[in-house]
Formats: sequence, C-alpha cells, structure tokens
Amino acid sequence: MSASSGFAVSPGGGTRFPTTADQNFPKQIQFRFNGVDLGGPDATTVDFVGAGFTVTRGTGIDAGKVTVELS
Amino acid sequence: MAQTPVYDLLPPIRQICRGCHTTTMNEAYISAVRQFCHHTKWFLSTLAGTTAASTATYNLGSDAYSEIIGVNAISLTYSSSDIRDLERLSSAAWDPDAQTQVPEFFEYVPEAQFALHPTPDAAYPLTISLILQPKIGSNSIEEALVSKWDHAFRAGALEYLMRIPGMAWTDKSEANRQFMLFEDWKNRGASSAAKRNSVGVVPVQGWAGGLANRRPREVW
Repeated sequence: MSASSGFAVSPGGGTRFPTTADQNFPKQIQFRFNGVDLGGPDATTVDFVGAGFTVTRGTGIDAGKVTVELS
Repeated sequence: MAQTPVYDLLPPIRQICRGCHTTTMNEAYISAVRQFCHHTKWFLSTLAGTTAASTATYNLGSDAYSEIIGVNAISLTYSSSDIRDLERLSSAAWDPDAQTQVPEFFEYVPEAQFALHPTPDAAYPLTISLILQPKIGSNSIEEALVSKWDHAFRAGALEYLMRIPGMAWTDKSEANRQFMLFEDWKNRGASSAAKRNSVGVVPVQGWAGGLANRRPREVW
C-alpha cells in the first residue's frame, strides 16, 4: 500500500528525547526575613502576623494570587 | 490510497437491518473496521521522509480518512548500498547523554509522532511503515481493507446493530453469534499481519468454542 496523501514527515523539534528535566528542578520559593533564608524547601505555610499587614486572596481570574499590603 | 465509500458496502447489512438509518449503519461499519485495525495492526501504509540534523522527534501529519495508531517499522538509508532497519526500543532505555550520530532506535510517540535515538547528526532518508485505522466519522475505507476483510466488518457491524435495544432488527442471540464470528475474523487478521511483518497479536488458542480454528459461517 502506498502512503496516504495527507501524511508527511516534518521535524518536531527537540534535540533530545525524552526531554530531560531542568537541572534546577524542583524549584521552590525561598523565604527570607531581612535577607536571611528561613530554611529548606519543606515550608507549607507562610503566616503574616501583626496589624501592619493586610493579606488578601484574589478571586475569579486572580484566584491564584495572594496580595500582601504593608501599611 | 484508493478508497471505497462505506455507503456502497452497506446493502448486505441493510437487507438484515431493514429500516436502519444509513448514518447508524455507517457508524456501525466504521466502528467494526476501527476495532479490527486496532486489534490486528493489519492496515499499513508506507511513508518517505528525511531526518534533520540535531532533531530527535518528528511529526507524521494527518489524513482525511485515516489516523495513525503506531509505527510498524522504520528503515534508514545511510548510503545507496547501506539501508538499515531501526530497532523499536522504549525511550526509557535511551542514553540521555548520547552524542548525535546515525540513529539506531525508534519509538512511536502518540499522537502521530516518532522519536529517533541517537539524535541524527545529518539528514538521512527514511522509509516509515505506519499502522493506520479509519477516523471516526469517516465515510470511506481503504480498498485493500475492504477487498480482504469485508466479511469481518459486516459481522462487526451486525453485532453492533443487533445489540441496539428496541429495534425491529434487535436480536441478542444473533448479535452474540456475530460477535464470535467477528472475534474469529480479528484473530485471522492478526495472524495474517503477524505472518506478514511479525507485528500483531498471536491468535487466541483454545478460545471458547474453538472458533479460532474454524472457518466463519456467513449469514448473507
């Protein structure tokens, strides 16, 4: 059987397969206080304490956004 | 590829399922062909292409009537007197640090892509054997499929139609018989594909009723 007219080979890009993970993976946010690292990547909570902060979680398209305002 | 309209293949089914809508019969027929092709890997097509230097993955495009469900084989022309068959090997076993050179291995990457290893260091002509099946909603079938396996597709289509509840042609008992015939035909198709290119499913031995070793009976 011959080839269907619709099929054709074209380069899909990528010099390697499967693609290798970034050497810096996994990446995480580093939490600091006045420039001092607060520790490893296992923090699961950031707690803003004190009346000077106003912290709000976005809604709708901003649902993934947390805003911190310092008064 | 020469195509046969599914509509032209429906009269034997229409004689049994009188009053059935053409669209439903078309869907039943295409569904049977897709099941057959998926099970047997019988429907192949060759495609010519070329590697690109430092490119590991390749797209295979699309077609109006058929879709790619696998790559059966790839051969690479290193020189006019040196044509090499690439070996199918899971990319899990590929060396991520390998330098670019003449590819030795390939892997099919769904949907309709393949990858080469090592990554080619130059442009080499390829001949690719594609495993195909008709697309859902297609209204025509490759002629080679029809000429050899039309009776199989009829059995599959009849099984589909006779299982629809509440129709004048509904017949669960006959549907079960058509199912067994269709299974038998699929095993024959797999055997045929395996003999042709060592790809496919080994026929079931000792299957219920021993139908795998018997010639299917036909009702039309």
